[in-house]
Amino acid sequence: MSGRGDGDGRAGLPGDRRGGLPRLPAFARAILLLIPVRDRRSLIADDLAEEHGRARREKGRFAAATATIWAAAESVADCWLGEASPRSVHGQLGPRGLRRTGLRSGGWPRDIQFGLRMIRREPIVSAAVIVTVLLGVSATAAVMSVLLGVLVRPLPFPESERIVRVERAPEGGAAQYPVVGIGDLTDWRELGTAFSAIAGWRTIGLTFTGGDTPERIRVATVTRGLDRVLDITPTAGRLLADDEFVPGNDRSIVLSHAFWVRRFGADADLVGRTLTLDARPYRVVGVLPELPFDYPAEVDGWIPLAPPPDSWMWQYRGSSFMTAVARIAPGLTLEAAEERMTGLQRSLVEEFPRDNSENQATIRLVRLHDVVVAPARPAITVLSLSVAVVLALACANVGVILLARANGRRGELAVRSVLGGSRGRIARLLVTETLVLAAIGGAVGLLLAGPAMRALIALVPNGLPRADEIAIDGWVLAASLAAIAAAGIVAGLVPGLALRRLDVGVELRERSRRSGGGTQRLIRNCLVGGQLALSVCLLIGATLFGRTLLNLRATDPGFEPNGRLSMRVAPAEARYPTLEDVAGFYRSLLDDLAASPGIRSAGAVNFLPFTSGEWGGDLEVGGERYDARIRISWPGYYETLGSRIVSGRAFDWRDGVDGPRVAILNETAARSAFGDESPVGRTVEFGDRTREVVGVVADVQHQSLSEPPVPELHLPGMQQLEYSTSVIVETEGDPMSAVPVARDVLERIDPSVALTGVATMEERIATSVAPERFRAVLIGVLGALATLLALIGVYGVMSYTVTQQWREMGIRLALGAPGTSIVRDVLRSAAKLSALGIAFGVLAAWWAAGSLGGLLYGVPPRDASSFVLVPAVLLCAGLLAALVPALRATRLDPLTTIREE
Amino acid sequence: MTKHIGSLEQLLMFAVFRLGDAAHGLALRRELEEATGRKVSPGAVYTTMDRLERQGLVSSWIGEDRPVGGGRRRKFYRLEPQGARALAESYASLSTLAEGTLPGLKRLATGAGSAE
Repeated sequence: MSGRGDGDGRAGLPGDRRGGLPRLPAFARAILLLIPVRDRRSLIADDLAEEHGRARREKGRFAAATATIWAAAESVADCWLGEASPRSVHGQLGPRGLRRTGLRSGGWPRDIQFGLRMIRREPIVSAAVIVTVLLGVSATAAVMSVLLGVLVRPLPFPESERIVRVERAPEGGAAQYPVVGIGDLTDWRELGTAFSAIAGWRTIGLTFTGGDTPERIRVATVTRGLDRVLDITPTAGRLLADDEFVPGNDRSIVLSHAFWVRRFGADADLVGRTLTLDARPYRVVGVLPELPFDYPAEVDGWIPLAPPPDSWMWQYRGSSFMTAVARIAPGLTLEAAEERMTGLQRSLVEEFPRDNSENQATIRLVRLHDVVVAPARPAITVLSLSVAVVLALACANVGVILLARANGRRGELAVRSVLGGSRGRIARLLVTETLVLAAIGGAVGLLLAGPAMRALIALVPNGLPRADEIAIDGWVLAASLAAIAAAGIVAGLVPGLALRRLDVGVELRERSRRSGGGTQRLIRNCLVGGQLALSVCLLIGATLFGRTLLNLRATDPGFEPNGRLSMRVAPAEARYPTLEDVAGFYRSLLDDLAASPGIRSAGAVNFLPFTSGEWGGDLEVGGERYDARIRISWPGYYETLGSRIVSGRAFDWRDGVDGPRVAILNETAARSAFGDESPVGRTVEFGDRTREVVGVVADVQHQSLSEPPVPELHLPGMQQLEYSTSVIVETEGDPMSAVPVARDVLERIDPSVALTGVATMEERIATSVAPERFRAVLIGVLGALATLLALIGVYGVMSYTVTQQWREMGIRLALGAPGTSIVRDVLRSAAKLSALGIAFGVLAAWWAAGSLGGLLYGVPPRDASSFVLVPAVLLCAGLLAALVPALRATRLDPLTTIREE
Repeated sequence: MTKHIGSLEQLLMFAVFRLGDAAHGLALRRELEEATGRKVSPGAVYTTMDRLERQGLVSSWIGEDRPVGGGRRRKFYRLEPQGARALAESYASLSTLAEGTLPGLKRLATGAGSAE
């Protein structure tokens, strides 16, 4: 072993000519590199060299080398141990003592201390690892929290997996509308055997008066049994009793916990008192429990649904307006319950063929949990995939950096194994070192995870269900820490395992050529190349999504959003029982608004473009049925919205309650029902009434900018009863300046009507492109992150390559080579490294782009400019990252470099 | 006694004091080896001296380039008054404890040897 350390054959360095100090055996020099303090190292080296010279003269070459190597090893051990704990120096030294004093048996604390010292020695590399881990962990913790909170954690109801939504669906298909009528629901309850409880609900808006200003609240009108389906108990008072689901005895309300706290300060004496809702008295009978998730979500209370027998709800069995939820009977699987209910439904379809179409022949049960999280699933899937990518990148980066560093430390590792460090022991040291870095990055990352998570939740379009439930909790913490630990151990073990093939002698003799073994270089280059490939994919994706967003924003919505303000009003049914009353209310409201200063015109419609809510119905023309969206509009609407009447006329106040029934079609409806002929003057059937078409209005993008328009049937508000309506005004200046004006007008006309949902039309359009913005921003951020990591990787690898070739470069510079040739060489190898990764990335992106078609708008998935520009920019960035170490190399002092080697 | 000094520290401080102006690392080790018959590594010497220096017990300076020997420079040490005080105190306590024990220790050592 020691014979190998005799490196005197390597002559020819300037040091040999400087006065004849005998060179230390290479092995001893290598060992001394382990001494962290440079001054001390050179002092010790000089002392040892002097002694070594004398020993050679006295005892011969072999014995001298052996003694010197041991002395060097002892010195290394003493320096470490002396630093780590002052008292331990005085143990026995020498070959046997050494084993006892630590290199082999040192504990975790010493390894950790060593790891911390490595950070001081290699701050840049350590910072790169820490930042990488930090990014990976905060992303993981943030997304894991969202994932657990929304998708995994069960709903807060007992045996919540048994709660299902009941839907009617066509044979083998999915439900078109997951709503049912009261007739079906009642029959299911009376005749069905699959459920232990079943109930229906829908939400309505009510105006609560009794405070300083009227407040619009949202309540669920529920049927009997919802409390049994959910299995909840009230916080105060009681839940709705069965005898309250009887017409005439139904003026009771159970308040939601949140509303009770917000509006009444959790007043326990509220139970038994009376609230005025829509000008009717409701008795407060209790308060719902405080749960992290409410179902029905975001309602301020429950009131009984008790329609009188002559109500339309009972009269038209086919009218569907309720969500039905049920609790599957104990011992029954979802499939079995589905089968039983489908059998019942088939007989109902036979009994009431008019009210149940073929599309409603079977029953589908969807777990409530799935119903609740379904809207968020796409966003969360995208998030999870992206966090997987970030974590993979982070691990790869830690791997690249540590692998490169380990390469520089092969000498040290070789010495450790010579000194008796077992592979396991050395692996432990490496793992500990990595874990120290990972723990620091992880700790900071976890601190950042909370803000990152909140930013994520805010970014998700239309909000996340159960958002209030989401928190960085213990499980998430544990999972994130596990991710760090795994990344750290993997990254730490790769260099440790590489040691397996380490030939100690070769390692130490060839230190000056240690730019990494073939395999290691290959792994490293693959990791960096892979990162670049991924960056290319993500950046191309970000470009495509970004252009989609821009294209969407440039799309003409079919109306003028600038300078338009929208808001919602709903006069109470109790105060305006007839069509005439409602028409009177809207006429004075719209006339007063239009006459107000700063307001040019005013109009109203049941559902404005880019607001949630739709009402669909069957439009009949000449026996043909067309699925149409129903708009109930008031005079002034088209003019105010800035949409165009293509032919005929708009509604005016003469289309009154007693006037002839009239309708307006949009272009799409006119085209599908009348072809090229003009529908003006023709008639259409809707809801058992014949109406004359008086005009055609231009198509308007209603729900999104990218979807094609659908057929619409417009009816005048004076002829179709509708309480809740969106009012739109065109203003002269800032649209928001119309808010106080509108409040004043409303206060004058009816102080009990609340003004809600105030937003400019521009805001509404911006909200509608939220999913596209989410994708563009997310992929953009991810692409930037990936690129940053990849460039750190390129920089790291090139820095190491340059450092390893210090000596060669020093000699070249000393021999008069121009600095530019060195820069050129470094850049050339960086270009090779980057170009291959980028090329793979372009290929992968080309392949993946094919599936993006549906998500893009106005830009082809394989858009040539994106596929050329992104790789070009990335290649330049890669070269820039390599330029830093390349320039550093040209500033080398040749002599210093060579001597340091 | 204000500060505990370990045995290697004591030995090195004695050596520094004895060597005077010639107290550099290599000389210290030779001195120690001659006095105790114990080989101490340069690493132990420099680490210990650095620590003593940090504690203000010794000071150091870098010597001139040596004309022969080809080395770079040598680091020399000098005992500071504070170090001298600490060393004297610990020596005093040691000798108080040790006083009159030597014959007995020798007897015991031989006895232990014969028991082998």
